[in-house]
Amino acid sequence: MLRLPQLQVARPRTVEEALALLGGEGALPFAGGTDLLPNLKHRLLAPQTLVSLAGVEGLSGVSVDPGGALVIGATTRLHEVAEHPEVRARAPALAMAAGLVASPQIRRMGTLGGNVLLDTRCRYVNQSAFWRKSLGHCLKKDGAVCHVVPGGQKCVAAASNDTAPALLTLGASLTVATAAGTREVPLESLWKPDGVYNRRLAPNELVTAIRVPAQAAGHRGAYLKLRPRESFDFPLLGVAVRVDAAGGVVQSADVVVVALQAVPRRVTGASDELAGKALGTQELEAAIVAVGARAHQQCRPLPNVPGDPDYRREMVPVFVRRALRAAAG
Amino acid sequence: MRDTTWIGRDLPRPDAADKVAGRAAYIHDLSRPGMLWGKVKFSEHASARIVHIDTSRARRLPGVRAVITGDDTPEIRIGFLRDNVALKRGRVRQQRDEIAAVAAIDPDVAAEAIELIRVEYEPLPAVFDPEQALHPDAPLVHDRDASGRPVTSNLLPVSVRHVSGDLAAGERAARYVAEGEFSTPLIQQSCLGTAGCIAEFDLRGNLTLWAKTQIPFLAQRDFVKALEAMGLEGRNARVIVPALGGAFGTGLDTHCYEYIAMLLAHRTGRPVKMLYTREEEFAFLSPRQSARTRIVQGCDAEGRLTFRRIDVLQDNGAYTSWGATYPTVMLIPATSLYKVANVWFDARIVYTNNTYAQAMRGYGNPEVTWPIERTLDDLARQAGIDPLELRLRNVNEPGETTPMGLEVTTCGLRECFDFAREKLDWAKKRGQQRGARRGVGVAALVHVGGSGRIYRSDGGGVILKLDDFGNVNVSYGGVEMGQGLHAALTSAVAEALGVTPERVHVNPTDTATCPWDVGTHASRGAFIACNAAIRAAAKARTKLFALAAELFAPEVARNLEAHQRRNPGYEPPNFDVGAACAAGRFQLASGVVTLEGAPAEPWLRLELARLLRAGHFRGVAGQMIVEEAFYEPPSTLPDWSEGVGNMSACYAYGVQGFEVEVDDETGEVTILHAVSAHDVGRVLHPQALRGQVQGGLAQGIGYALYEEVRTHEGRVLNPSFTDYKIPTAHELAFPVDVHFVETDDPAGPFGAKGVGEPGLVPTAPALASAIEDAVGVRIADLPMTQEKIVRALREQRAPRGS
Ligand SMILES: Cc1cc2nc3c(=O)[nH]c(=O)nc-3n(C[C@H](O)[C@H](O)[C@H](O)COP(=O)(O)OP(=O)(O)OC[C@H]3O[C@@H](n4cnc5c(N)ncnc54)[C@H](O)[C@@H]3O)c2cc1C
Ligand code: SF4
Repeated sequence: MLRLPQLQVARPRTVEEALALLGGEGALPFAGGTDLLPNLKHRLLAPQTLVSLAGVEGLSGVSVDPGGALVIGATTRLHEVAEHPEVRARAPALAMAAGLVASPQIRRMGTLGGNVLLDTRCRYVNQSAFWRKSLGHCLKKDGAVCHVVPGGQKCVAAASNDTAPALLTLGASLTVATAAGTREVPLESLWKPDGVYNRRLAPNELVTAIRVPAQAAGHRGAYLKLRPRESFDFPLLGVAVRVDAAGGVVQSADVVVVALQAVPRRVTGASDELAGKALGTQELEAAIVAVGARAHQQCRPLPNVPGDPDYRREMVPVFVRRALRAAAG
Repeated sequence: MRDTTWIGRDLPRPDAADKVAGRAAYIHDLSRPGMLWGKVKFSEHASARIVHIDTSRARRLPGVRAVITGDDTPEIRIGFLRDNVALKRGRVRQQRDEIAAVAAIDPDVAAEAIELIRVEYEPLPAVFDPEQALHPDAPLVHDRDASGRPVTSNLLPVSVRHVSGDLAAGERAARYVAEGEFSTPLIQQSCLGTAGCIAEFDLRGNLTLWAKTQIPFLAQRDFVKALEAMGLEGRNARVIVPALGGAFGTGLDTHCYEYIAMLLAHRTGRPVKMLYTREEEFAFLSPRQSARTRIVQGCDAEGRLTFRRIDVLQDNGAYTSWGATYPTVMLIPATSLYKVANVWFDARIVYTNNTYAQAMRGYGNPEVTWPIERTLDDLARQAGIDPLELRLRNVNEPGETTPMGLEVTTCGLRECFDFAREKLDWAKKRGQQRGARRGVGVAALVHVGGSGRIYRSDGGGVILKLDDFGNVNVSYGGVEMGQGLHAALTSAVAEALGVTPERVHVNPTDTATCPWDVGTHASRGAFIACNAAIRAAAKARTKLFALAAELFAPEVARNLEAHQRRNPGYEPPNFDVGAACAAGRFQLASGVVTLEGAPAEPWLRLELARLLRAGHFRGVAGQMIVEEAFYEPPSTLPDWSEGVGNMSACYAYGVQGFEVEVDDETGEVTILHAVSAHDVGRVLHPQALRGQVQGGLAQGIGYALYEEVRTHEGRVLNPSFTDYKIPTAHELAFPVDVHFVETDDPAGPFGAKGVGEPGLVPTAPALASAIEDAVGVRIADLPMTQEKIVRALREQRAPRGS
């Protein structure tokens, strides 16, 4: 087994205590640890203190506010998110995505907050320190080159979190607690196209909840992912869709794809193609195919995560079509 | 078939409870007083001159007890070509070359010390493709052989060839010919227990090594040689094998890390433990050899094979393990899978700067069964014959002597096909479900079933030691590595000796206490061990009955007295115990000695434990029952330059089949149903056998669909289970019909054949055939990933060039 570096683990009981600890040098929030621990073993991060969120009150659980928004505590386990009746009813794409992360064991450890804030992934960086050194390091950690895009100046490690595209289609936001107070960060503005660190959030800011607003009438959604095996694997491609079809006619739609580049990517024009089409019609099916074609046009997977990028690209329209059919069906 | 009490009975495996409860002690669990932790500094280049190694900072790190390099330790050469050295000097030839090592008080200090070692390299030209390595201008991986003679090519001096019959005549006789180039990948054996050892010296210079090995006695020989190289002539190397979390071929060679642990233990005077991490296991231990195969075979108008030609190119990597002898086993399917008269086989093995590879389950057999079975489907299509029917027209049969000289004593291949045909509903399904993107396919195998002679001795010994309580302690020099050897051996000893299985205890394997055995490979463990056990048990019974001839009568006389005291007025039936004893008419079953024909009176039964005690405590005539037998199978060491010889005492056959559904948009293959029928000779222990067959099937599915150690310029790109895919329980959640054909082989213990490897062998071609039946694509290079299936489908829709 790879060994963990020497470090401290702090166990605050309240958000205030946690924030105070996170204000210290080299402190990082530690939720389920299912991303953090492998990265520590690979020496991708060198925190001095892990601030465990396990004992912090009020960070876990699913509730519905009076306006019909889902409020999901940051440390709610993915398993609970996937199974929760309110999540399944109000945000089906999120429930599906949470239920497709990794394996049952990991879904019982991993949290929704941790998934949203998952580090980017790349076949050249999610490796042991020895391995990275022998290859000559890279932009994301200790180096000056990129092995994915030779000559590239920007890290393109892939956003690989399954729930991210689903939450984007749902217009979700993060509730972030800092020493200065609490603010709401729309997911729309969370990610930035830099694989080294793709979040506009300081590593020591604390996400306390994920907020999914009430959806339009006739809301439908789905999430599908491409992976080598049905169990266990990070997405080689993930597609989330939203189809709002009040009265059986599509009013608006959204398609977001993950595991291409450093940020999840919205496929433009989905609503243009789909709006006005009635569910269960040939017109809708033709429009779905057209959205798939748009997605194929717009999405260019890079050889950042395993899997042949040409194949992953070819699968973009397949998964877009399937996800739209699943939502509309 | 002989009537038996324990053989074939569904008993729990004796090692199961401890393993499930986490009680079995693997190398990871072992510790020795004063033990240090060793760690290796590996090369960062695939081919380079080592200009300088600076160990000074590592030496100064508190907690470090020794830092060694090739320059300050004796040279220890390893491998059968002696082309590898434990610690490299001056030159590295692969990414994982061992450059230096440390021993420290704990694993963290050892890891930190390794980081502090600075190595300066001068990169040298390298070659990573076996084809290119054969080019006259290719850089030489080794420019001298082990004895210092210059070499001129990267071709290994290991030649296995076979030519039989008349190839040209066979080609002329063929109406249909199928040919192609196929490949099988480098894969990881994926043992759950990673590699490791503990090396410890006593003060007389004798070594004890707790090793994760399948060959304790050949390893002992290697280690004794290493001791000589260290100036410790005449010292012993004792090898003890802890519980193994799988080996699958990784334990067929001794490894540099074991010698490095020895050097560190000798330098420090303390026990030294080495344990590979999963990443190290992936990147720095030898994976399964990859192979490229060219095949041509043909059949006449009726589908009868007329010739077969196979040329193999094997990538050896930078050094040579026993994996380089794959072709010796490739010969078996090449010459003897189905009846084929005119055969040509040639294998070339080439050095490259890739990680050096070693053997794995099947040992060359799956590499060659893959192209044979795939091109048979092609022949069937050309000839317009159902592929299963075509196979039956060429099916192997008892009494046959194959072109390689294999003498087929028993063969249940036809029955295996019959079972598969029925269970897969073949007539209804083959070629009938294209619309549903579903298909069925089958493939067969032949493998050694009575060990495989690749060494002067192919034998193994068993010692049975009976104690005062009726326990039977069994010592065998082969290795239980999860396959169920101890289960089979327990049933065999119970049966052959006449005790209950609870009384049988198989000892841990230890060269100090177990008789010699060549090693646990070639599916030979149960075959050899049980055959030796039968012979040792026969000797023990002879001794026991000799004891009984003297002691049975007085002992049962005392039984009778006691019985009469408890049952006043009891009249014993009219039976002359003395005469029966004098005639030696003893029986021993379930731990009780009785006389043949004796009435079923309780006092006429003598517990084995009492007989043993009576034998022990009889003053100056006191006696112990400890018996040994060495079994050498009736086989011959083939002449490899001719590729001929009856290398096994019998041969195992089997058929595997699948029904699959293929997603023609994503390339995803879903297995709906599997069939696995094997000629096992005789079922010794049902649970262990099913485990072997199903485990092999699962491993074969990984080989077929997912697994590949991907490398770039010698560097392993996917050294973790996150990126290296093996099937999980989820992928294996389909029904499997397992069927055993019992052919009762005369050489087998109770008729049994070895079946350790077969489950893996025909899995990939059977799946490929089913995939082809479902969506019409043919993939020649394993694994058949989703990507490859989609690419093939695309080519099918728009043929190349259009
Ligand atoms: C074998 C394996 C397979 C996996 N497969 C998948 C997969 O298919 N799909 C997928 O999406 N993920 C996968 N993962 C990654 C991971 O398990 C999940 O993304 C999981 O949801 C991470 O949650 P966590 O609670 O364990 O996060 P942690 O590891 O605890 O944290 C992840 C990051 O988020 C930060 N963080 C966590 N909580 C907070 C908070 N409340 N406020 C601020 N920062 C916070 C941490 O500091 C850290 O940087 C896999 C992991 C493994 C080991
Ligand atoms: S994308 Fe390039 S820079 Fe980023 S992690 Fe991968 S190799 Fe490194």
